[in-house]
Amino acid sequence: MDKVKVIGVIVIIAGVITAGFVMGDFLPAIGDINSAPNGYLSVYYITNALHDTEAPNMVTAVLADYRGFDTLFETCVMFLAGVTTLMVLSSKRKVVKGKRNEHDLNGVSFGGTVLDTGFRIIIPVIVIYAFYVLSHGEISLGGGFQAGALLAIAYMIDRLIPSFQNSLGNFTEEAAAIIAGLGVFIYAFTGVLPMFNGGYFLEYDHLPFAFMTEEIVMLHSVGIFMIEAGVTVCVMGTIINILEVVLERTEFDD
Amino acid sequence: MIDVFEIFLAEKGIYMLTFILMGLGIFGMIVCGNYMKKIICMNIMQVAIIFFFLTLGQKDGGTLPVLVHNLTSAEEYINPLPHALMLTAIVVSLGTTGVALALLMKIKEIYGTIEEEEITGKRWKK
Amino acid sequence: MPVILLEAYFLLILIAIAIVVIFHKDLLAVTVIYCAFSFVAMVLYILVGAADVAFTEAVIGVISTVYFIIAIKSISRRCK
Repeated sequence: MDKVKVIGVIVIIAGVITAGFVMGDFLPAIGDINSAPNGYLSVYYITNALHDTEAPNMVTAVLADYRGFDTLFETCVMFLAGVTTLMVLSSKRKVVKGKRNEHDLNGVSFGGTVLDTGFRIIIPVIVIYAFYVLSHGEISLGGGFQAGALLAIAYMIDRLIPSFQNSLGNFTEEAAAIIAGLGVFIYAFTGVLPMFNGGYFLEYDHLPFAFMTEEIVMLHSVGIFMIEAGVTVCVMGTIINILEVVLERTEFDD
Repeated sequence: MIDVFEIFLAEKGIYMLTFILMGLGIFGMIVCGNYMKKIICMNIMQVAIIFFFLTLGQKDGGTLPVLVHNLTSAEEYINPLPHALMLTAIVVSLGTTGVALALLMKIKEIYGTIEEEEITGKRWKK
Repeated sequence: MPVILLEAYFLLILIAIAIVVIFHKDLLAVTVIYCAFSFVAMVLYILVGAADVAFTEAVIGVISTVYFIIAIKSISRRCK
């Protein structure tokens, strides 16, 4: 096919879409309070989130409580992405230059002495911040996904700078995939737990922790925290998994 | 004058710019011969689609969807539903990027190159 | 300055960055420019009011940039 023809087709499609927007009037104006996406269900979510789920952050309430079933399978998608990466690159390398795990730059500095030391100072701060984000996920901004990504960034920095004796350790990619699967297991187990107490799947009112709290609504906080912990573990494991798989095939020759 | 321009932007302009961005992403995925650039253009297209969803939840004069004590009515808060959906979409896009990079490195191992022209052996007709 | 004008301004910046990404020939430069793209998108999400999504985008942008740079080490840097 001709390259000019492809470009022409794309320009025509873009022109039709733009003309459609100029002519037609089928999307609501931005900022309209009474538009269709801002009515119906979202009004219920906003007005009843605190009463139903005891979570002031409505995004976490929708994500982990009202739509917890969605998030379960999104977590599964992350786990499957990590496993797929492992399976695609699991065969033996054709060109073997240097043995495995010898490419972690022992003795080679990442960005000079000052930068390396700065990164080492940053790592514990990032880990503490990740746990803060995890535990305050339902009160303020944050949640499981962000906390997992922050923990993975801490591991990533530790992996890329030359390692001291007290580093965070080296995961193999299989171990990282197992950790990600453990996160999915925590999530699904939190879902199954109310079923022993006479509830449905992911129905937090029937979690068997009623002796800890006086009000039945507080059980939602327990359930949301367990779910966020599972999501954190899964996201952290998957990101480390992909990082290790890609890093294993890379040759640092210079 | 400025009011008319703002009303045009709110009704049509932002959507048009978002769709131009999405079109640029698709254009790059079709035209670029390098597989690495195709992945980056896919990410650009995802950003455009996520932004399109987020604009649907916007409200004039609304605050962030975190509960404040003296604000109770639903008109005071931005719609939290698209945020919750797009939050997972961004994280899943990272998984897609990882799988695409794994396939890219496998192609590099087998063929020795990641240029589409050299792999298929065909060239665009002049 | 009203928010909607700022949104249009940052969307124009995103479009300019996308054009540079499509037509540039150096993959390392493209990756660094994509990092800038991710941060401008983060500012755009904050303007829309989605602070959670902006937080996620900031973290994920850093991680994907690291992935791309590690992958560029094992493939050639030039492209046609």
